[in-house]
Amino acid sequence: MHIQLSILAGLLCTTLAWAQPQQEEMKKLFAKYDQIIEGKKDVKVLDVFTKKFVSEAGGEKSLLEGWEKSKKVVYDLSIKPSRSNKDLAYIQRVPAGSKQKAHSSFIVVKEQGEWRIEGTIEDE
Amino acid sequence: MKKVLLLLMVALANPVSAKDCEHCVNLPPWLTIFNPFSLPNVPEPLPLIEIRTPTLPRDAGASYCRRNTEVVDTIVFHHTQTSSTTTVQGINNMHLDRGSADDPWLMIGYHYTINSPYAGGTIPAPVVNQGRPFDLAGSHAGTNAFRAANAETRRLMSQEGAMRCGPANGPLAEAEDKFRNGLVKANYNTVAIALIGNYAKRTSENPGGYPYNRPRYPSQSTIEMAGKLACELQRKHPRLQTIKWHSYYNATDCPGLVKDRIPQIKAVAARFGCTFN
Repeated sequence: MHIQLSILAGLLCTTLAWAQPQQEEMKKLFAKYDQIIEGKKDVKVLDVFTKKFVSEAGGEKSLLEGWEKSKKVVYDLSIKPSRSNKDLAYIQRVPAGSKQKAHSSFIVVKEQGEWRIEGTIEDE
Repeated sequence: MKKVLLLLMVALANPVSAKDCEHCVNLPPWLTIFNPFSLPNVPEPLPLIEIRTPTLPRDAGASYCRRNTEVVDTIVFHHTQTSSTTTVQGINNMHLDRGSADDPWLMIGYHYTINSPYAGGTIPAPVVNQGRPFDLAGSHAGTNAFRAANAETRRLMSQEGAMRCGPANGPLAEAEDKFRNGLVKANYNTVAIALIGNYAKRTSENPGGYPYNRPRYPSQSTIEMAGKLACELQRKHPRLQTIKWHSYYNATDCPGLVKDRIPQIKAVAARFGCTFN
């Protein structure tokens, strides 16, 4: 009985760990995102954003235009997994080491097994 | 006595009818037949705008604050920084979803949302929805935002029962954080209207914003709806006489270019007899 419970608990932990976005996965996604902003051509837009987001932005070309230039900043990521959907999470980015509060969150979803940015939502 | 009789005769001879005013309704005739002392058909303004009241799920484990609506004196405009086609249900789901087991959110933080197409667009269909009920404090200006308020608001806020907070399934107690250094907690004396959409520029924090060379302003229909909604709220809550925006309370890009259109929103409200600071 104990063994069965341990196996179940182990499986549950593994499933949760698998389901929730890991810091490393998110760091990779946002590193690609920063490269897109910088105009690097070797990153595919659809490796960073969902098809829905790209479509709503008017297509890939439109999405790549008109970014406001800003200083390169190293960010800390704060991940809030969705309470109801294992394939959805909310990410806040704040400059590393600052006490600044993020006023919006990125919405990231799993699309074809990979995490992608679906959009943003304003925070309090 | 003669003067009173004369006035009564004049009043009865000149009833206000729906013909005199497109926004007025007549009282049913039986009321005036059986009550000779009733006022002649009092003009009852029709609502300026339809406000839908969808049933929105709430988190029963979250705490909230119920307020005396008299304390509310300011409208705060926001944008949601989402796609313009996001629904009020979608925003409610996301606000519920983003809470944690330790710090759950009650429901959508805004009191009203406006869906409307961007300038030059055709979707979504324009609609105003109620979000959080007016008598519940919103969650929108910033938990630590405190601002100056007039003497009457401070007096009303200091009264017992002005702001009672607690868990959804437990007793409410008077809020202890109504004031800080003489300033009033912004979420308590304000009502939030959110324009669904993204009116801020495209930055690394806002990939869905407008490209810097193509500013995205609210359309005229959005401005009309916002002005009418503001006026409708003032008719119901006459102390509501100030309009502000999110970035007045916090260092945020919200509500983007909506802020530049506040004078036009006030002008629309003025057309219907409402004045805002």
